[in-house]
Amino acid sequence: MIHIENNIYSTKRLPVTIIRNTPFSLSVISFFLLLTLNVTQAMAKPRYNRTVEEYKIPDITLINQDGERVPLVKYLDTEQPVILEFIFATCTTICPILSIGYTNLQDQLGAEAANLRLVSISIDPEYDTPEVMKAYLQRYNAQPGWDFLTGSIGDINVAMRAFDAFVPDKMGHRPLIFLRSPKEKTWVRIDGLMSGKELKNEYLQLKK
Amino acid sequence: MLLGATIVQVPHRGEENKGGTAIKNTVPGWKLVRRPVSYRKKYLYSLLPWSFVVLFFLSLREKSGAVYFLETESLQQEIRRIVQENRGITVAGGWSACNGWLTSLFLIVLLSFAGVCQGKEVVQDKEEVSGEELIALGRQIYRQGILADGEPVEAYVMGDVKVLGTQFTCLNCHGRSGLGGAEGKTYTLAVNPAALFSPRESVYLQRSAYDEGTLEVAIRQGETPEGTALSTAMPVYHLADREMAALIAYLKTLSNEFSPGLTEEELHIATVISDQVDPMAEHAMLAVMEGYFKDKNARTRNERKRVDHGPFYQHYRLKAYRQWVLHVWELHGPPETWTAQLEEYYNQQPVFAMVAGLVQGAWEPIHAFCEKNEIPNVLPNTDWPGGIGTDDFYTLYFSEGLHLESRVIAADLVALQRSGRVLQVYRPGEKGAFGASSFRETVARIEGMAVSDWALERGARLNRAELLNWVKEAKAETVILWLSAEELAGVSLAGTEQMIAGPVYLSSSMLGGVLTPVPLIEGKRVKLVHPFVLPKNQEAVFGRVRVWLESRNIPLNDHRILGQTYYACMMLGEGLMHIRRHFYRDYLMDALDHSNAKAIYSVNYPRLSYGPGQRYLAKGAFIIEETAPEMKKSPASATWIVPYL
Ligand code: HEC
Repeated sequence: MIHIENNIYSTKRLPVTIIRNTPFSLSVISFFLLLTLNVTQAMAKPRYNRTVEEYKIPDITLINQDGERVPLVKYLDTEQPVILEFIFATCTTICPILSIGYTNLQDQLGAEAANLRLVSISIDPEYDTPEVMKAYLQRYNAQPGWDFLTGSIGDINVAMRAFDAFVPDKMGHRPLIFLRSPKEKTWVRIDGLMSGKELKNEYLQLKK
Repeated sequence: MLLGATIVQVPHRGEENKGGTAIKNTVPGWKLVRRPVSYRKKYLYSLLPWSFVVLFFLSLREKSGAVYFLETESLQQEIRRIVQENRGITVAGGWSACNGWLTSLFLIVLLSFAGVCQGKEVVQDKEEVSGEELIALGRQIYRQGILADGEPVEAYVMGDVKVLGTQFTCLNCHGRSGLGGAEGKTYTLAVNPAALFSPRESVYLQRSAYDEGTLEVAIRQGETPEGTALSTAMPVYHLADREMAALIAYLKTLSNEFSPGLTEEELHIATVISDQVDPMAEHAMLAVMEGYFKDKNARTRNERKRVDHGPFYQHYRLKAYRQWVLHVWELHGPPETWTAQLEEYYNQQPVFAMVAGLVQGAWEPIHAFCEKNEIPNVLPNTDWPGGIGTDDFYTLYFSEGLHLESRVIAADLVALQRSGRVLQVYRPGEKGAFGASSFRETVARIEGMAVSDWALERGARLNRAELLNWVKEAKAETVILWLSAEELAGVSLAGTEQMIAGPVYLSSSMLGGVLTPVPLIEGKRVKLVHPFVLPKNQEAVFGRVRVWLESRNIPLNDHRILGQTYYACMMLGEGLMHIRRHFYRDYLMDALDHSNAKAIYSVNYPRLSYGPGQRYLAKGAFIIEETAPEMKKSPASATWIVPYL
């Protein structure tokens, strides 16, 4: 369930009464007073699970949207930060949101996006052929740096298992996102859908 | 005197907006009269952190009183009092998530100068359009995410992530039927009128019934009539009023009336059989269907009994149980006349769905009939399916048949780096011709490949001398024989290695599919394209249905038809079980899209996989290589190929 409690009104009720015919100065004072309170509100607690994990990248070769072979170990042995997700092209609800998250991140980062490796790995590899994946990336306005990978069912299962993300039936898959900074071996594993701001913050934390 | 309110709602980009609805709920019977600031203006405002100042002037211009923001019980009461005293105010809700109560408070303070004045009701002009047009626009927004002017719909998901309708839209989450579904632990709720316009009391979400006003708020701001926030996985949509009206008009048509082919007691289902099909196959198919339907109906009777006598069966469960009634629609004469015959059958007895089926020739006429009448057609027995390359919805196929095989052959040739000339042999007008034309189409995109065709005359068999002649004339190095076992019988290609340099391909579907001994052309290296379970595993896998068939005295003759038909009936049952009492055809298809877990019960295909909108379940085939004159159970090699072509 990804029902998210973001209705601040139900959680924070303020004892407010209406002030009428109040001198203007008072309103200005109250404005600045309340400005400080507003800051705490902005620091809402994250609505996803975040852990730090170590994964061994399996020695498999996948195929990208251009039909090129991609040896995964070499591909992920990079100086760039990496974000990795498991999706499939015809998936409903979860994958569209994960993918539009990538679109949004590339958008937000502008030129910097070229230094970030975004990886989508298909968990429906027989349907997601390079042709399908290419069309999918186009639909999401993917910029260079975002690859969609497919492969044999066996290899895809190995990849899912390596990230502790295996599901026997693709319809039961979870919204998982993995982030790794170039400096570290560990991955930040995120379970749950994120806002654009949250994903960007996770990414920015990586670089430090 | 008007008792009304002008609620000025200025949602910040993609953020929730609570004020308007909450205020609306404050005063019983108070109608939500929206006075949305135009969307263009809204963007302007949202650029200003000080936009509440603009709102303030706006409220002055409206010649009405305070702009209030609703936070607390006491404030609600206060507003109720003011409304009662003043008969109408202008209320602004907004900026909830971005600036929160700070802004609201400041607004209240600021606007207290304005005092509370008489409000006026603002009725929105809605352009006059016919219901049909409106629904068509709504459908376009729901399914394609495109507005009347061709621009994509704009929305924000997860609070701040911009989505265009062309990236994904209602359809991608709520399904064609609008009844939603679960993926992982994400629940996409139903958006058909029965669900929306009645209260929801599930553990997952409780809310009162929507009306048109609150539904708009749900779609625009992501909140329930109570003002609680929906999950931000549900995007908030920026739609102008006419578009919103269209969308809601369309939502009202979604899964609204039960589909035809249904009575209180019965569920009508048809299957199609044409002239000239193999009598053994026909018998096998009908025997399985009759057996399956009988079983199913016996179980349904038991359920009904339990409902009558048992204490724990709630009445509503009964509504899901219906007797399945099978109608066998026989098609006679040339395929051009089939459509009229189908329409005739359908007029006499509408059916809810069609299952299996067997015809001589292309499935296309039946495909088109089902698409036109929106009838689900679950897994027909055909190697010559319709709808390839389209977004057609209502027929679910095992595979693309010979089209898939032709792509697998092309992929194999590309992998072998054997471009060059290919000779195809087939019988015109039969399914082999479909394989041949598919192959030609597929390789048209591949550089360096050229195809020559040899159409075998009716009644003629393959003949060694003639074949070699054709090969020579076409300068072919590869041969594809889209021919049946009879047409191939007795041909020896021994000693032709010099003349045919490349492989000779045979199609397993042409040869009858499963478990039939494959006649090999003696002495020549042959590749068999085989989308089925490997010969060595067939016995074991077929064992899954053997007992069922034997116990019903069904002869174990045509394993392919027996297995496929059993699986088709099972999937129909699976789909119907999933939709329970919601007898909407679109929902049946949506439900089948999510039945991936059942793929393992197929006895014919090693891999079937389902997915939303995927209409051809098997995506690849083996290439079996054999050098021996007789196909052995364990061939020399078998490689699974998913064609990337
Ligand atoms: C990315 C997936 C997604 C898209 C696209 C989407 N929705 Fe939703 N929708 C959801 C989810 C998830 C929920 C359940 C929200 C919750 O649990 O709080 C929902 C809930 C709703 C509800 C409220 C149902 C209720 O019972 O309260 C309505 C109405 C709705 N959607 C309409 C639409 C319409 C109309 C569109 C297209 C314009 C659309 N949705 C597009 C995912 C989506």
